[in-house]
Amino acid sequence: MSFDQLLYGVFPYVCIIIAIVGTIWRYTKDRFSYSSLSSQFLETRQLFWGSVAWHYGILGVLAAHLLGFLIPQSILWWNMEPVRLYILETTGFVLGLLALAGLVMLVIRRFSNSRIRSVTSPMDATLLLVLLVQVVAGVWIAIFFRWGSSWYSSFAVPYLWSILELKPDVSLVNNLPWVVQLHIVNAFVLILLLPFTRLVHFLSVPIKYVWRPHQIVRWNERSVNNT
Amino acid sequence: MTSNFYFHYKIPRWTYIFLSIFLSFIWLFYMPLAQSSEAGKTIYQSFCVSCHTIGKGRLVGPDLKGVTELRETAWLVRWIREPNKMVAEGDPLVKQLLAEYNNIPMPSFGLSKTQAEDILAYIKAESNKLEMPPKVIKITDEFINSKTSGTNNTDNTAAININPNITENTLLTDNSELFGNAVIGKKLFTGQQTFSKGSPACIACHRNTAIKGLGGGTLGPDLTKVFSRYGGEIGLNSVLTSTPFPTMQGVFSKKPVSDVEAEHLTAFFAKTDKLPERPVNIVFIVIGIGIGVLGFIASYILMHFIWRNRLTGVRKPLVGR
Repeated sequence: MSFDQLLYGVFPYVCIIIAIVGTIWRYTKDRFSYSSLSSQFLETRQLFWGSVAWHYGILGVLAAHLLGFLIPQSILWWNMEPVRLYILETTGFVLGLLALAGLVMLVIRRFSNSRIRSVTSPMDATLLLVLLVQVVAGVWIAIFFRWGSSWYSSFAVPYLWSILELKPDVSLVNNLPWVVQLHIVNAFVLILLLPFTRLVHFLSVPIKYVWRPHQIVRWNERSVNNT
Repeated sequence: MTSNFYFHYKIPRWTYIFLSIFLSFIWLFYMPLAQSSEAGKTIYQSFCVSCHTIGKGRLVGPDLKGVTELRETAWLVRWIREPNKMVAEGDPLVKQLLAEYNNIPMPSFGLSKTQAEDILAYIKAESNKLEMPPKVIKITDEFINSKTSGTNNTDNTAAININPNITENTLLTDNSELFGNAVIGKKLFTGQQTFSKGSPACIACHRNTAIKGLGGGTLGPDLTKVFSRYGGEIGLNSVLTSTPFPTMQGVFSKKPVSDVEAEHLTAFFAKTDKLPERPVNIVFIVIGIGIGVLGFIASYILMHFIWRNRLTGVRKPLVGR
């Protein structure tokens, strides 16, 4: 078996199986850790500019990937007119930039602020690094390997379905440019990391967060100018 | 709270358990698959048959009859496994073959040594079955006539007969009598007209100077001058119907471009052949990236507007920071 088969035919299953088993395990052993542990108490300004942009950006990008996965033919139908293709790609690009800028801001916040740094675990750092690689690769692909919405629906989606159908077709992806391959493999690494990091908060499906009113977190019993 | 704190400051013990399971899985999956090998015939039919024959003449690539006697096995195995590397290294024999076959490179399919040897065993067995020595097969006048008179030939090999009077170079570069329609070809390229077997539109990965606006994709190469790059009509038609490129094979082996569609595309590419290639698309940089960045800035302004009542002015005196 070649390295490609290992990477695209075996590794995804390993990641998915471990993610499922690990998630169930964590839910039974440590249910209340299904959270991203808010650090708004410790720093709020950078968090607003980072977290809001990151979350709306990445939710939009993920939704687009999910739509392409579920209804690839409809995406290809939409892209039949070049103008419509350009509108879809530009929208995706804006969302990608939002996610990237938000994430960079969150990374800077996490490592430059001593309060935040002291509550950062090695797994938080790992997750941020993997997410950063994923988003940089995604934006890179959007600029240098156009038009992703079309070729994703034609090449990557059949590959993803072939995984679900337990007949992984490695030939669909193993010759794509290395940045695209990195994006695909890294996505499986993210699935693998799901139960071991704060990314697990994604599974509590906090959908209402998308439209809920803002919240202000503040200390309750504390005198002013006492820091 | 204690357990949460423990979890978030140290890697939990069961992480290592899962890591062990992870490595075990790799081992379990890897071992049985590593030992399995497919028969040379199956591999040949999956990867080689679109460009090669054994004793039936040359197509996009050479006739492979007797090739195991002609070249060293080690060279052949490496050529099957790593053609891209051998092209990059400038192997003299590879250079010669490329020049002879319109610079159409052999794709790298990531085959193993065993698979390459299986293919060679199959070629050797098939070659031995054929009594006659290999013949150089040319494309006949009848084939060209059938195409220009509108006959839809669905089998590329059926019309190939021996005709030593026609040199291939003259045929390959002759584009005076194109069968296809360039307008339909352009629509197939942009996706405005779909391929009959569901192949993806060219624009998804390729650019062409004739496509205005933000242009075509950049995953694959520029196809503006692909007509002359592949030696004219017949060479390009062969490439379009067989798509002997590793990136394309995964999809196009299941959803091939039909002969008629290849003709239309060839007619379109014959027209764009005169246009200059456009390695840097200024329109994309200015309009595409520009609108993207403006949209990004607008989103940030919108964010600030939506959450303008987030009480930053009240919060500051409350928490003292």
